[in-house]
Amino acid sequence: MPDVIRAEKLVYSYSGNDRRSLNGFSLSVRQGEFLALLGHNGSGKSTLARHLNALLEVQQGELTVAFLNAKDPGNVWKIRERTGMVFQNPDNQFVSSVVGEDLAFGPRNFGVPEEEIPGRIRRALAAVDMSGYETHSTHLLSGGQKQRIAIAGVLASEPDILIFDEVTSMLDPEGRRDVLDTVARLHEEGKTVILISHYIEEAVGADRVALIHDGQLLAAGTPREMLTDLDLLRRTGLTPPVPVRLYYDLRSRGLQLPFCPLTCEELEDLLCRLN
Amino acid sequence: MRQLPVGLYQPADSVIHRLSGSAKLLCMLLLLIGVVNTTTLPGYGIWVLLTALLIRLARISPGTALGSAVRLKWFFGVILFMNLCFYQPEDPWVRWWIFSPSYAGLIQGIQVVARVFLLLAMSNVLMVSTAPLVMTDAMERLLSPLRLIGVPAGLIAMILSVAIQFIPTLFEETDNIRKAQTARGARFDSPRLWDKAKAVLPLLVPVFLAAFKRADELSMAMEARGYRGDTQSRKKKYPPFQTADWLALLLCAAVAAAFVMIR
Ligand SMILES: Nc1ncnc2c1ncn2[C@@H]1O[C@H](COP(=O)(O)OP(=O)(O)OP(=O)(O)O)[C@@H](O)[C@H]1O
Ligand SMILES: [Mg+2]
Repeated sequence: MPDVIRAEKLVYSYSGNDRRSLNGFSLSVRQGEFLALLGHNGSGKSTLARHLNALLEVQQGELTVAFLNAKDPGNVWKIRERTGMVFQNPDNQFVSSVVGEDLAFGPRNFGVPEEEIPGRIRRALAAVDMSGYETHSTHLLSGGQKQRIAIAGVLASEPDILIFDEVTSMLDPEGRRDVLDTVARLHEEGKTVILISHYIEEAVGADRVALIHDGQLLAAGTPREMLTDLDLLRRTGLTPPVPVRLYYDLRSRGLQLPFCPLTCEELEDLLCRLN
Repeated sequence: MRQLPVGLYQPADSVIHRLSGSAKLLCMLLLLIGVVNTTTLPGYGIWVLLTALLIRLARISPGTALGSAVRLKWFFGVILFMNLCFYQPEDPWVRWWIFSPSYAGLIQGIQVVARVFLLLAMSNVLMVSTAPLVMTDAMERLLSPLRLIGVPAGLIAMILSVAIQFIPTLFEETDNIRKAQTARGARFDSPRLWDKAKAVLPLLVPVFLAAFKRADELSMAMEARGYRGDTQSRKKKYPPFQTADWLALLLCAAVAAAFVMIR
């Protein structure tokens, strides 16, 4: 699979801020990949996401998104059409309080013919499991539903790449699960997914995990490689998942275990085997 | 279910819902001209009937249509009182301290209240029967002649529409912050004005900061979804007026003209 995103030595500092928010960040993402990007507060995750959607101009370094050079100003709108971005706060993403109208906003901006739009809205709502909500008011939805409508608003433009910037951090556990299920399903349907988070558990199901720290890529690899490496996680400023923490605690107390569990299911497995 | 904020679009299939947004907006302006030119009691009677008819035609409940006007009852009371006591000090019933209530003042007060009430009810019919972005397009269309003198019609329309839709969210947020600060000892319901003011001021700061943050995030989300503001390269095509639109305009123009001429 070719690299649909390629970032090389990106450097970015916001005006009025001496600190480099990105400080030589390099990363490639393959087409159809599910990448989880983890880092603590202020590590530069959102700054990177805004680059991938051409919301910020490249200051230094190289960046291609959807095989388009992001440094070419003529590519800005094409890149925004090919990449969809969902943000943290579900209340701050709607232009219309009517679901159907809001979903039509993206396609209209990108010049999709008017007669094609109802079909797109229907497909987008089906993809987030909210069919039939066209005439609902966004003000009356739960947080998780709002966030799924926000995802549908992005899907209506039919992008190949989806970027989720901490989309679950303002949701209750149920809303979080629904949104994460939707994200996983979209990946299965062939979209390239970049899930930004500081909840480490959300990265377990990803194809690959990238750790960002102080605007630099610290490491990237499979969830198992990344999330069971205590030293690496400590340097990133993240707490390991509970099963991993438990494994190391038990080991330091002298209990020999056959493998390090990553999820609760694996932990159960392990405990059953001990018995 | 939370109570639906008044003035929010409610989808339905009615004659009024089906009219084009810009026709509805123009009709509203015409009716406004008619209302402010009404000076007789029978005239107001006709307006009450017309408004009731509009509410019926739009198939919305009277509560929804009149809710925001009813909620302003204190404001109406103050207007009535001010007009009654200060409108015509030359020929009062009685004179007491600075107050000089008069017959002319009473009539004037009732007129102002009636006009504001009617306009609120009619604009509610407009808002409830028109989807937000349809309204945005309508405003943009009516403002578009101003483009010739460099007014960014599309931007103004979008800003107005987004601002209106943010009102319920901001109310909710204010309420949340108020609760949080009450829990920490702020005294919003203290009878002493000074305590009240001390409680309200720290409330305003986070509400404003939150509003700015919201605006910032929303603008980013809109850009990400391809919004280009007024420089939108593609020329927008507005749907042409249908027979019903022309008919509505004609009726409203006739009503407005009648009231202007009677006066
Ligand atoms: N608009 C801005 N102006 C100035 N500095 C900014 C701006 N946005 C972010 N920064 C700074 O850039 C750095 C990286 O911020 P960024 O938002 O990318 O981090 P993040 O990893 O997304 O953090 P969080 O988990 O809090 O969302 C931070 O130090 C932040 O203070
Ligand atoms: Mg962020």
